[in-house]
Amino acid sequence: MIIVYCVVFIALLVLAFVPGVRELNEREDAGELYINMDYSKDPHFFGDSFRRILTDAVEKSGVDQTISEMKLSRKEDVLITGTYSYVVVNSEQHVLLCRGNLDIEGPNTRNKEAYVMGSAKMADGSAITAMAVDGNLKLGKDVNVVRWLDSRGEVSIGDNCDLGVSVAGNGKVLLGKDCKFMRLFGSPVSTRGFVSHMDLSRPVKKQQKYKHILGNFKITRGIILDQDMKIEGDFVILTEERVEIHGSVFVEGSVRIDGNVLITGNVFSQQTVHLRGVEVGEPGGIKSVISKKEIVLFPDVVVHGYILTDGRGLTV
Amino acid sequence: MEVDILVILKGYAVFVIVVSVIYLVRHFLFTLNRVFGEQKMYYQDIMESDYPSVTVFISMHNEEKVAKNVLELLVKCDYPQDKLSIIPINDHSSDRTQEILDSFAAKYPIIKPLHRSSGERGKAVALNDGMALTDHEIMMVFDADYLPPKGILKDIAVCFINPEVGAVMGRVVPINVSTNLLTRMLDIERAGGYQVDQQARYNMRLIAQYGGTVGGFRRKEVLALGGFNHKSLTEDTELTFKLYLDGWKVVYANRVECYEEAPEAWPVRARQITRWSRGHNQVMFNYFWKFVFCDKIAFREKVDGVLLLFIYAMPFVLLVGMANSLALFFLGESGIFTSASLISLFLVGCSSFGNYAPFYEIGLAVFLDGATRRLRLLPLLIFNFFFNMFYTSKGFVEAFIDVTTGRATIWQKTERFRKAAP
Repeated sequence: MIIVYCVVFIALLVLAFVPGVRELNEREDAGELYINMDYSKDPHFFGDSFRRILTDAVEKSGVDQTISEMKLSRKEDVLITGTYSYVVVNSEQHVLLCRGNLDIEGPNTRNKEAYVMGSAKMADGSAITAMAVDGNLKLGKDVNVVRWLDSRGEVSIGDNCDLGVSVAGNGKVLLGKDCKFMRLFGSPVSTRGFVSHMDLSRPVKKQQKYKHILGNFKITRGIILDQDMKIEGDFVILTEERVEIHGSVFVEGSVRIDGNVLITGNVFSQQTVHLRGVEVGEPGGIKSVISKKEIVLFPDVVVHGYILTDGRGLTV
Repeated sequence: MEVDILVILKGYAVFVIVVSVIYLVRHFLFTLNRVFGEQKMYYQDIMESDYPSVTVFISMHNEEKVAKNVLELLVKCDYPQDKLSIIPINDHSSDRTQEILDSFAAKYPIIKPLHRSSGERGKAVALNDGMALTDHEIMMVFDADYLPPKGILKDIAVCFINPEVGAVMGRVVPINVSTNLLTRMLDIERAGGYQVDQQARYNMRLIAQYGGTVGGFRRKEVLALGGFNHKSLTEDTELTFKLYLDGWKVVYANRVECYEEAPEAWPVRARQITRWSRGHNQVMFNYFWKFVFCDKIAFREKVDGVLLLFIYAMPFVLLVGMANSLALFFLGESGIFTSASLISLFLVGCSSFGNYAPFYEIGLAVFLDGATRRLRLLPLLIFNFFFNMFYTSKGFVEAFIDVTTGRATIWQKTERFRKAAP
């Protein structure tokens, strides 16, 4: 009997190693983890990739002014047009390359990507998967973007739009109210009603030592701070007097700013960010407003650069 | 007298079980945090037009097999060229390393090699010499066998915009995974250590550890702390604790990933882990009391830091604990302190200290990485556990001798295995 027990014991002991030994021999999952060696942080990544893929495919096909099947990331019908103006209520299932301007005059659902070499306008109530535009881009009200918009010019966005994953412009990006977003990039990105009070004539001598606040920090009167800040709690500015922070603000809690405020550096929060009456960054530069959970932009906000949230982004 | 010995042996068994359970809970909490806890955002999402000036160091001792690859990739990085310099440090090489570095320097003005052929050898002294040649703000370090992606310098540098950050650590990913049992074990061990352990410590605002490569630190601040200790075999761990003692933070960046070459031979791995253990335990002996009584460190950081300091001492404690259990058994002590303690030691040890990142951390990390079939390798970690236990214990004993006798330490480079450019 003891021999049986021994055999069972050894068998059970060995059994634990059988899958591992099998994996060692068969090497089913023996590759290195994937790292994208060419990854580079770029707000126009989506747009530029799509432009490159589409123009390469069109060039290779030699086709012009028609609908043709082409190999993009997979086989797609591609419509190539010049300046294009249309009203189509039904949904469109082809990728569009518009060599002129695009004017979608009526509510239209475009289920495929579009690349517009001129400027583009989308009527109220339209929907689009993604669009790269070389000129300016204007969205009406209630436009729904499933993935991304990328413009090399300026972007104007109507009220109540859902802006998908990303909107990037090389020029100004002007947001309407009640829009939803995740990532925005522009020079600058602003909500309506913004008036700049930036005065860069005062020489700023930034302090080496940063301001470290262990709890919450509330500013209720005008002040100028020439230093970076790290705040372990919440950060609140509530005053009509001028507040200037010449540095970046890193906050473990939430940020709520309502006033007449200039922050020349980045704003980073592990919780939520609510902004009204704020200018972040400086013209010509790129700074970021980043929040883990929520960003709410009220009127009179401008960010020279990038806005990102992992959670909910909203204009009011 | 016999009773006194038994009391000591039983007391030690209880001690081992208690500390084992403490570590088990610690690693279990890390695992739970990665599954259910709130994941903190890392700063690499920040877009910025005003990056700090950066110098990249690559310490090289006879690195002709790998030097070309790391330099080719670094010059392709998208960091602003006017704010970047690359200093490969040729540390007493006797192979073609110097020739390779000089050929790159002739082609790329940002590469400024430092050739060291006299004086002390080792990474710490090489980095100190390198820092004397630059006035840049941020120092980054890569080992010679590393393959940095295009955007990695920006992703590390942007973190220093947070003024409290003294050092940044990225994630190391082995590239030669499929070579043999050792590389496959090291691959999943690394995954557990970075994907779960380091990330959870970052999430929970505990002590993230600077690992001396795929990372960076502030030059002025490190020089103000006396630079790197020439005698230290783990200058990275020492820097981590020196920074915390001075009120700085270290952040871990899980998405800042870089390929490395894992050791492919057991003797090479044995030397590597002995050196790590010896260096880490030197830091433990030298910094424990300073860390405990430091008023710049939060309580939660202090608890985690103490456990981190002792982590390379634990295999020695366990090894002695196993011998202790056997002694109790042969002394005829039955009950909870004989077979039960031996079994509990074995189980707790295997599941908690196999490769310093317990099985559940490794299991979760592999799952998070989407490489689920390599989960089948987990039971094989038991062999690695005993291997590591022996050489880590050896490192602990050597560190103890170093500290008590003032014995000098000699830096030993990890052997490379690369045959052709990847």
